[in-house]
Amino acid sequence: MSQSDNSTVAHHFEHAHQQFSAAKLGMWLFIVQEILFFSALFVAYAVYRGLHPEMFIDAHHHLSWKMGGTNTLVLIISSFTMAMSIRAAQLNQRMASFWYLFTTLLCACMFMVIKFFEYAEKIHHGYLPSFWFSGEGVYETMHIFFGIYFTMTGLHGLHVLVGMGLIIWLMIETYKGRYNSEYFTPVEMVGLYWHLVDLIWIFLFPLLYLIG
Amino acid sequence: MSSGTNYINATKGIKSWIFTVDHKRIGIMYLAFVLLAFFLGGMFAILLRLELLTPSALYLTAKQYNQAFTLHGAIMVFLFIVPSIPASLGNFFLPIQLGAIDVAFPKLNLASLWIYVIGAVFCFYSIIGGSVDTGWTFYTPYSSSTDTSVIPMIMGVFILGFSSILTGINFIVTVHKMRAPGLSWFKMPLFIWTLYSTAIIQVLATPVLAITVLLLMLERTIGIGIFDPALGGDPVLFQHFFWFYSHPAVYIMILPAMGVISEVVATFCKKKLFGYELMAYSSMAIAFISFLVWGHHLYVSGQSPYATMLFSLLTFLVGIPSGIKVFNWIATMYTGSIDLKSPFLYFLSFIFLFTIGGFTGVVLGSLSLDIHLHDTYFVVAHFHYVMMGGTVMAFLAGLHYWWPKMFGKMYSEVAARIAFIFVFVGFNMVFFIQFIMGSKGMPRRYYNYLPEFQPYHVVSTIGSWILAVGFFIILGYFIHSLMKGKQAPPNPWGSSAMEWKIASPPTTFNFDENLPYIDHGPYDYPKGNS
Amino acid sequence: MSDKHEHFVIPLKYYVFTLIALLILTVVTVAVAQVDLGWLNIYIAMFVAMIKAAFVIFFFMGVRWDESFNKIALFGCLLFVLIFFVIVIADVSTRGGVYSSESEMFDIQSPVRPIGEGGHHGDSSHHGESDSYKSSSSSH
Ligand code: HEM
Ligand SMILES: [Cu+2]
Repeated sequence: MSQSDNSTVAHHFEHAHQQFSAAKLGMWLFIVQEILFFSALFVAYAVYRGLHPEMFIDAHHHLSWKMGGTNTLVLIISSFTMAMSIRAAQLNQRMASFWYLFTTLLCACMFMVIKFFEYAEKIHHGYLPSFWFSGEGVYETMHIFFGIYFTMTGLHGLHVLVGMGLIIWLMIETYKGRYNSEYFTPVEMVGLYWHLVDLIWIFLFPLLYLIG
Repeated sequence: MSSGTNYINATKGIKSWIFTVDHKRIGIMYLAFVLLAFFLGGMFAILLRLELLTPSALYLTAKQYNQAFTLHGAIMVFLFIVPSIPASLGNFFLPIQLGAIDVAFPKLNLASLWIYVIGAVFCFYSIIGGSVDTGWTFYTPYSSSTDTSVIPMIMGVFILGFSSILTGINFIVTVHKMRAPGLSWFKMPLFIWTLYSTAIIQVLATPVLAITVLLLMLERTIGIGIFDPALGGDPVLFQHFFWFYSHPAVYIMILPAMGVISEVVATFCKKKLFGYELMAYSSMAIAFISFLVWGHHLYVSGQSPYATMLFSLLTFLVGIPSGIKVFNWIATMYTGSIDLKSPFLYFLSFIFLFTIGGFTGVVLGSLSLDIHLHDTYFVVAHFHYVMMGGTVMAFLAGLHYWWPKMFGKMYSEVAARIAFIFVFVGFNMVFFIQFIMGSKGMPRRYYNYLPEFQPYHVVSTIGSWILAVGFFIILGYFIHSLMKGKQAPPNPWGSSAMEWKIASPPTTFNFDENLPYIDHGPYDYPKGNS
Repeated sequence: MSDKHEHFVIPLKYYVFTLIALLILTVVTVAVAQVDLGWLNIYIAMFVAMIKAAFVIFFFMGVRWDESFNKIALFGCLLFVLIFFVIVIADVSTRGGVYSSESEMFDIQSPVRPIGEGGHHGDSSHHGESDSYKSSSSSH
């Protein structure tokens, strides 16, 4: 066993590459479980949309596609800056990596602020899951749409919040100079997570806001 | 060889256990917790059987009875049987059999253990604070309207799910990345193959359980209205979601058991396992097919008849890989030099009981029969034959087989055989009669029943006492072994498997000097190797 | 070189190109949604979303250059999502089906009719909301 002098290699791994590729596989498996976690929501969406097509179309007019669209753009840009920050870490550009992370965080904040205004508006008009639903509409099952809407976007929003926490942690560590071209595993892993958050939104946006 | 330092005495103090990242210590702690859960679930079982001694109420009210069987089921499934073999024996032996120092993510492994404990605390809270009475399946709309403590329990289930997922991720990565030099895929012991396929199910199915119970929580708290018919929802959708996890989950329970059984049969027959490759492939096949059959739990729930027919067909398919395995185990015994030690006795009872359980599963999978048998004691008997006759017997086989390795102590073989007789006889008394009862129409989950069923119930209840005696004997000689047991040699069974080549108990890093180079198959016996 | 695995750095152009593609596709999908194409809308929207997802997966997440098992894990899990999806939808969309096909075959005059199979809505305070799945099964 070649005992590596590199302090970032844990005792049970033989070399840094094994450790990196193990971490990456682990992260992919985590993403796999996230996908299945969300899949049930998409199934529920499809079932109720199939059962109540008119209600869905009517209900989605209460969502603002402009806000949803803006959020889509914001998330896409954040995904790009996240990818760039990994790249910067790989190229030993510490401060560039830091500022890319910062931009990502900023986008995430923007996403949450817009989300906040959206939610506030829905709540104001009573478009809520059924225990509090008091909104107006022609269909009596409309609370189901909003139940699904709040669950899906809520869980997604929760993932954004967790991602923001992780990015803040990365910024601190990057600032301290923990990452370089030899070791940048955490940046890469959080990056994958962040892209997943973007991926889910890519599907949520047309399904909820652009029903047509 | 004996009294050197090993993983147990390498470091001292309670903290050295709570914060350990050694997969062996984590496995031992898991073992302690799942056995505790088994004890608790078993207590509820004894209470249930006692109530059923007479046709009318004996000492429980209807609601208390409902709570007792719910807690029995939920504890046994989520706290005991799902983590049982993978998290305890699996954690201990997977890295060793792979020739690795540890799993890929030791800290995650530790996290998984303590997440399990947190989940268990939620479940206990549910027991104290207004026990759930929905059945372990939490079917809506009852679960979204009952006033018992559903939320703490499903919160616990949600958290336990995470623990299970983390173990699964860890095992998959470990198998992929931590194999010793020379150990190619088809040189891995079958225990690893089954843990690997189990881990795949854990990663793919458990998140669906998580979201299902989360949605149930939301249904109860804010009324999202997708499961509750009063709000326009579809309760059958809940059953789809639930069984999309829970059918694969029954294979999370049985696959590792099959792995243990494969190890035991090879060692005690001193023979290469018959059809090794087929065994590996059939584990993977079971993992895959298990995702296609969940609808056989919904035959009479108002599912579409077309879906029902499809599911019935697919359900028959799952019997094929299981059948392959049974034939291979039996073929392994042929011309082997069989050593009838207690692990092998449990192996034999596994084959016998699992086959009955599997066959009755196929019976239940056929549509017209299931309409009659659904929600009767026939179903109860079926799943106890596979879960207890299958998984628990295999767990016991594994415990007896690996006990000397894990603790470095021998147990009393005579006591083990006596206990085995109690367990085997008791088990069959409790459950075989339930097949008959069920086919005569005794429904499950009722605290009283028609008087003509009483003889059956009496036999079953007496059986449960015999079974309990068996388990207490086991507990007794295991404790005795820990205190006063003979020092175990490194390889008491003369096995050729990797874990028997190192010290008993192993040292902290498993292999003293370099990682082993593994250049031969796992069952390297003179016989059966062509 | 053999034991010192250099990490592959994805060329910048892929990132920039992906960003532009994603932005354009977002505009496209919003634009298409403004035109009413009936049932086609949702399929177009999903198609565009899948292209976008593919861009994110292959380039941002670097799957194009990743180890093969990571690819298998990702795309394999989609198979299970598909199974989940297809079977549940197949069930929900054919729940009433057997009644109509049975009555065609045997001319059963059953007093029991599945809800939604024509006019039996109790009082008709429903707002003409047709259940597309069920009505399709009774429309022949
Ligand atoms: C040969 C393979 C198997 C087949 C074909 C099969 C088939 C079935 C069927 C059709 C049912 C539904 C009965 C009903 O509710 O009407 C059922 C129930 C059940 N099976 Fe199996 N099974 C098999 C193996 C297993 C295994 C290996 C386990 C667990 C280790 C298991 C655990 C269960 C449980 C827990 C239930 C009842 C769940 C409940 O309603 O509470 N089965 N099985
Ligand atoms: Cu099943």
